[in-house]
Amino acid sequence: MTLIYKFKKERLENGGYASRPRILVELSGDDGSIIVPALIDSGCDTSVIPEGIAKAVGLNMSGIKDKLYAYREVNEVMQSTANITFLGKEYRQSVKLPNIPVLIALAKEGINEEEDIILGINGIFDVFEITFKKIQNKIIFKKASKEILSRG
Amino acid sequence: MIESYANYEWFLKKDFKDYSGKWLAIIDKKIVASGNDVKQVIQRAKKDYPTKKPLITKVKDGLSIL
Repeated sequence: MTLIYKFKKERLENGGYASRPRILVELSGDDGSIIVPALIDSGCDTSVIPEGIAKAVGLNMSGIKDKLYAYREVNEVMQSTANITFLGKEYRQSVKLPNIPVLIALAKEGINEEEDIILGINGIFDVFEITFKKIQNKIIFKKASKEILSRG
Repeated sequence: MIESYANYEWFLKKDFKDYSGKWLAIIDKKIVASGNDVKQVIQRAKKDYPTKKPLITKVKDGLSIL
């Protein structure tokens, strides 16, 4: 099964542009689901979900608190899990991954500076072979064969 | 094509410069809610379109490291 996504050319406040790899996923929790063009990041250990989105879909907010180290900053996070479905053009192409480990980025009091969902390595790069083809504007997700997955 | 994928393709092509820094909820290729608080944006979209699944995104306005 192969899913194909694209980069989005996004305008910046400095007048320039950034091309970002946007992956169409459905994030589900106990209270519902939303669709997100999430960013994929091979440099991120575990997927990160902002607290506002985690609460809106009803992810478990009773996990262990942890720290997420980014470039020159540390964020407070909480360990949790989420059901993430990678959506294709047709329903039959979609791939649902249940109970993916995620980190919920806890909001700082009184500050609305939550960021997009980031899809990281843990639980996702183990399932898909992911190829970035920037020149062709494609990000190809190929589900690994059962043989490869069983090697773990 | 599933509805969500149609919204994704529309999202990829659009320039959201008027919504810099905001969260958006997109349904049927339209922005149905926007704001600074993602939870409120989701709640508004679900209240107005209870049978739809909104596409939720933030319009990032600066360079970022992931």
